[in-house]
Amino acid sequence: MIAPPSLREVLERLRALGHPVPEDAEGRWAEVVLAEPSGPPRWLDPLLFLGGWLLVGLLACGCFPIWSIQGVPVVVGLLGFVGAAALRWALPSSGVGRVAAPSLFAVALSARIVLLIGLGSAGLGWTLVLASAVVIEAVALLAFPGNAHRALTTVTLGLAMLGLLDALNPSSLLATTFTVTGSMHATVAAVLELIRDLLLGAWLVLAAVLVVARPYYASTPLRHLLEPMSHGLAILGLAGSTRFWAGWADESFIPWVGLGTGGFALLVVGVCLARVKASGPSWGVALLGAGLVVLLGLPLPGLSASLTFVLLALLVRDPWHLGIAVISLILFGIWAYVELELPVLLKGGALFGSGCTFLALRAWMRWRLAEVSP
Amino acid sequence: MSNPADPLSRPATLDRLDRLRSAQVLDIQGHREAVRRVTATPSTEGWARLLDPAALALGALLLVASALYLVGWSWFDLPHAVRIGLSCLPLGVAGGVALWLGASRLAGQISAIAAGFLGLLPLLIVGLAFPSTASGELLFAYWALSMLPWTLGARSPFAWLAQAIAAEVALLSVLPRLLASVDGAFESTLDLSLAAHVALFTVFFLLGAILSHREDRSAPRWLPEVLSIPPLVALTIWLSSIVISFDPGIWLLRGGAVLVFFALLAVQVFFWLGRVRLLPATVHALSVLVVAMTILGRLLVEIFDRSDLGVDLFAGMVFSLLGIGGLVAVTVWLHLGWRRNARRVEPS
Repeated sequence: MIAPPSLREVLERLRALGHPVPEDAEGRWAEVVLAEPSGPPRWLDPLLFLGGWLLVGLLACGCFPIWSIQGVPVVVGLLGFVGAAALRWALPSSGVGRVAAPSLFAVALSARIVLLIGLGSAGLGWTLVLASAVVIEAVALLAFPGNAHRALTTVTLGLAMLGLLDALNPSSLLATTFTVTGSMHATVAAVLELIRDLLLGAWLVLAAVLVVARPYYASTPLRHLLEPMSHGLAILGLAGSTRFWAGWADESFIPWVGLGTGGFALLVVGVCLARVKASGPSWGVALLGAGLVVLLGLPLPGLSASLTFVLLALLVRDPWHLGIAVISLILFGIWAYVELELPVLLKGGALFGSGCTFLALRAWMRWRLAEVSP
Repeated sequence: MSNPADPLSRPATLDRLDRLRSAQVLDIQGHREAVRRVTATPSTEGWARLLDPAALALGALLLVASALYLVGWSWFDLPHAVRIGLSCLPLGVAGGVALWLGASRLAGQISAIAAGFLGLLPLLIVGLAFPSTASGELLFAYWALSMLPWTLGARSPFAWLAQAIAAEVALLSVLPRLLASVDGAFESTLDLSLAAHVALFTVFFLLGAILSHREDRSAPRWLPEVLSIPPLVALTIWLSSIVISFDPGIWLLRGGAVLVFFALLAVQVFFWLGRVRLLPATVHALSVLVVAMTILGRLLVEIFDRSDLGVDLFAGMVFSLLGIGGLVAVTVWLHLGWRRNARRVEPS
């Protein structure tokens, strides 16, 4: 299963590999584990986040008249974020620091919102506000620790980048910066839309690369930055893949996206099979499955990308990526069947066929496993 | 599964391996190797163990969806008896699975809870098929009653939570009918609801007090805590709405209920914190804070003249500072309760 092995299993594995492990390692490991700082239960975190959010909200309501003074929101937002980040770094990871962390996360988030509202109300215009948002979110990603905060900030940074590209696009409703006319208008719009599509694809690929590379950076301090970033990028990339089949994009582009995600899925299946040291027939069936994923990718790249991420999460035992991919798979699956342009009776038949396929796959898997196992 | 008596049976999470490395009981090479082991892909059997139930669940889900589509396609052409029979089918399947697996297995408990919820479906279909005989107000009361055997059988806190929600829904739908029959006894549905919720809450409080003092550890101590949450949430909403729609004429009448509520909650919070039950203590303390802040906000609106900017700012600051103070006090109080809990657990 995807759950991590026990400490004892890891210790035995180290000994089996011939790694020099002291005789009293069990006792020393147990001492460290028993001395682990215990904190309040995890379910308290959302409540504390909500508490922090309410706290800032109450303060903002109480000081309502001063927000109209020019420059106040910018200063308050900056001070709020810097103060929250400084406290987050200064407080220990257990005790008071553990209790304060979710509230500080809420304070840092709302301070950035106040800062951006302040910049907007100062008359900077959409483009400059969104450019500032990109810079602010990038700084926040590095400056404020915590997995949930960094994953969310990756998403907001991505959204700010998309917003900026939209603001630069002369065809967009947000466009305020450039006034381009004639053929240049169409060219600039097309180039910016291409950059946006490439960015969406790049996020998906970058998330996948970070998932595959997890075993390599997980033993370094970079894990605390790259792991939450990969979660945020996966959310952005998977959500972005809706663009390619929601009828927003040029239809001639869709087969290429489908082939791209399908080919990528093929690569992932290959890596998975190599890692589990699959035998000949398994390779054949897996390639057939990958072929189906490729075909699925033609009309439904989102579904194909979600399936690929399920495999990737299993490949490196990452429960968070598995959760994101399964939710995405369910949403894309429902969307795919709802949007299927078929009469109700045929749609029911398609669902029935899909259900039978999964049950047949399970039966085959059981048969194969019984044949392989002694 | 990890064995609480054996620290090394706990999962080797990346944070835990980092702590071992920081404590210098694991060298760099060992840490790297351990991380590689923890992030290594599961074995073929491990993959199969995960994919097997996933394929079963997906397959079953798609078949059920296809059945729904096919039934939906010809629903209005079907006779009443077939429609009612079809609506009973999910209940029969879930109930059958629950009885077959039993309450000792998680799947059995989930099936029993699902059967409790699915009992609403035939009631709705019967109501739609024979509108002249159906009673809209009593529909949810019948549903809450039909859920009870499944709840008793499931023996799960979640089943009781579902039962409590069903009872709340039933209560809220039946109250207008009861109110009509007890003419003049209650001024409005709001008062009756308030009284019913205070009563429900008191019953659960007393039940909790009795159960938590029993020596028998198998007693379901979680039951009153879980059951008290829905009436408490409903009560908090009712009270807040009463405060917002402030009417001096009937305020004295309702003021009594509000006082009873606060007295009960104060006892509850002290009680749960004394017994170190963090979940009810948190819910109750937040409930007190919500109602107290609503009363404060209402009073400030009544007292201060909102046309003056300076007065407005002062009132806002008072409201926000008291709110922040309340939040901080609740957090610190809960934290102290949790610390005391940790200290009590340590010696054992």
